Amino acid sequence: MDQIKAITPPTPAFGGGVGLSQAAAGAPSGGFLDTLQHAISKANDIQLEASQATEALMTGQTQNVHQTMVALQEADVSFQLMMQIRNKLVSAYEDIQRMQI
Amino acid sequence: MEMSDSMAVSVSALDAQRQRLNVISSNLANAQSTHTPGGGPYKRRDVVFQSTPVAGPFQRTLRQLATGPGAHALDGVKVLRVQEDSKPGQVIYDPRHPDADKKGFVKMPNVNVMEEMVNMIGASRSYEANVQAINASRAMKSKALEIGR
Amino acid sequence: MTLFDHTMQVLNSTLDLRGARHRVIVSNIANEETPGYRATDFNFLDSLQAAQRGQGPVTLAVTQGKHFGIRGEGLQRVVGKLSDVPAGDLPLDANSVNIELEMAKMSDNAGAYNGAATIMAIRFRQLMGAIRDAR
Repeated sequence: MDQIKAITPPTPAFGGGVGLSQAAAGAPSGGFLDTLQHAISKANDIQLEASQATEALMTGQTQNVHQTMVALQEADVSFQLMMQIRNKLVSAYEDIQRMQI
Repeated sequence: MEMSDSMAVSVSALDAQRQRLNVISSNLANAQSTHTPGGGPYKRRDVVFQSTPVAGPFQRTLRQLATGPGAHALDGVKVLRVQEDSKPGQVIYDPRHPDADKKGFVKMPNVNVMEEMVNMIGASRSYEANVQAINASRAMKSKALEIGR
Repeated sequence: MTLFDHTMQVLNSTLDLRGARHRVIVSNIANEETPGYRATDFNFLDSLQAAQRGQGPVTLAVTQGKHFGIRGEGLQRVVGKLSDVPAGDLPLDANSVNIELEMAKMSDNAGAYNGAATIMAIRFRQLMGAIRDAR
């Protein structure tokens, strides 16, 4: 548990807000898997937003270049964070496994 | 898409404008030449441009990507010919001029310096525009190469 | 996440079409002073948008009225339209190239191309990162 809390989620620098900070810090208590699942679904949502923003930009439905670039970076960050959470969880699990009863 | 096709088109334009500039320089240099080896005053010269297809596999690509008329949409430009302007020039009265005729008149070349200067500015501007086109083509090619990075 | 998902296909089509448009604009600029030359335009945003929404290329409508392209399939067959740039009064040499307009179009189009290439690079990098980091 301490290992998970040691990951400080990034503060949302942009107006869009990274929902992942809520996922990591204030997720409904339900243990490892819930936290991870929450993080994964948030990361996925952000990815979808980024894809939609990209397509809108390419087809001329929006002129907002920076919004698309920001959305892409948010997706990147949230994905990296999700991977880190996953890795920490996996290694915590392995640690527990190795404990001798 | 063939980026080097774009550059070939722009290069053809640079070439054409440079030839045009050469002709303009020749006109300006000879604005006072009342005597040529062929006899008679210098006659100003002009270039005639013609759009010309620039060879490329891109014709095929464009046909896949586009409907509508416009095979000429991929054309570069070339100098068709350099032609002399036979418009008569000014005739001035100067009996002491070495090329004066019996009555003392001298036929001057039909070069209008102002007009040549304006043409020169036009040629430079066109040259500059095509240089920018080459830069844009090059930048796009660079970006495309970065996709793998 | 499939390797070449819908967004990647949109990006891919964009690169093709923007590249073609660049070629056409460059030819206009080269022929700025060619007597009798008519400037050409290449427009595809409508077709691209329709394909992106899964509404298939127009040519498919001929066979079956209600046929929509499979999402993504239409993107590979987006077709743009070449047309003459409408010119007002033609100058003495009958050349319809408006050089300022063509330069602006070129700049905008190159920006869109570069943007698509950049985003494609980012996406590939993300994919590689995900593949590499998975343990």
